[in-house]
Amino acid sequence: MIDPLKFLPPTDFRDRLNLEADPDGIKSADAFEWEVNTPRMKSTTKIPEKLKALMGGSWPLEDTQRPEVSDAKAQEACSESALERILSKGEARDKANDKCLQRLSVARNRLSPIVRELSLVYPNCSLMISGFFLYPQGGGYMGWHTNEGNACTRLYLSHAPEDDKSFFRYYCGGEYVTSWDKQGWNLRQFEVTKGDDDPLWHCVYANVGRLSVGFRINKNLKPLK
Amino acid sequence: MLHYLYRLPNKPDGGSDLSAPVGMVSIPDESYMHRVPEGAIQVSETPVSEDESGAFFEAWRLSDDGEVYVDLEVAKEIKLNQLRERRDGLFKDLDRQQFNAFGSKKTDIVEKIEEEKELLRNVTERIDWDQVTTLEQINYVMPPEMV
Repeated sequence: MIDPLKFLPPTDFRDRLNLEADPDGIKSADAFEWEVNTPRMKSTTKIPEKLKALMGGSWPLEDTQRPEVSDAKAQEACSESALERILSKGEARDKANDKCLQRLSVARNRLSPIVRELSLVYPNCSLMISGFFLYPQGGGYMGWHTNEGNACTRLYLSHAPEDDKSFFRYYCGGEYVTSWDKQGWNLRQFEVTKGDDDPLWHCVYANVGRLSVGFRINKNLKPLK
Repeated sequence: MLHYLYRLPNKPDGGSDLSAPVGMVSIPDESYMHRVPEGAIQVSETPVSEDESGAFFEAWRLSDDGEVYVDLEVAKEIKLNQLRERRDGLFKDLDRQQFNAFGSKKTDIVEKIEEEKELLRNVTERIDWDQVTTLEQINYVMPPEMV
């Protein structure tokens, strides 16, 4: 496991290039091994060791005040009926306007090696962090939304301390799918489209403390020379 | 508040054309209209929905029909300048570290930093502009070396 103290200074290239502290010797992945692999959604619990090592250690909270949690409220916000209500009103919901989570702060010297590791799997792509959250135990959630304001590939790496206590739920093609988190790291990739008649509605529920980091992936680079 | 957008002069005679950058003036109410340049059009607080923060304000243009739009070529140049500015900061850090590593005779680190600098030098040439056709896509250009 990497030393979390290494990441306390917010920006310093010494840390970024501190190879001694990097999880050297762990092979980088050149592709993920998806357990679920559909055109709109992919997921796996087979996370490359190097990525897990880079994600390890502690992450400081940006929002230090713990939000009030209610499991009933979280379950309701992520229910099928909640989405049916939104859809019946014909509402567009690019971003979730109901949520219960805490933001984590990400120092560049921690983010950079993670992005570089991911760039081996996604060559020629810009990778931008879209959010780093801790869903609090007992009823963390992010309500239904589509993200269709930012059409791109989305990648979410989440960590759950227990099996089947938190989930990523989505609705697409007239079907609801609940993708329960397994204990440890879970990786999901999905496609966000714009102006789509069938956008990928999704939400997140957590009865346990759930860490989640998301990336926007856009293929807009030429190969490295 | 009332918000107005107007073309800035970009011609020797003080006139302006479609390629002119714009200015924006906000007034509390109509009693301040004397501060609004002639020909300005009233707009909302965020006249360009895809650029709510105004990060690409210098690329905003005003059509003859009073429509506010973004000149994507100018926006690309703004993005490149943002990346160059970020890169300058990264270079300064790397230079300092390379100097320290050199002084400590840590040649492997010196070389590693040199590789990093080389990546940064070429970073703006890595952008595949053929894939970038909207302001939103311009916003999401961020080579991993720059993160």
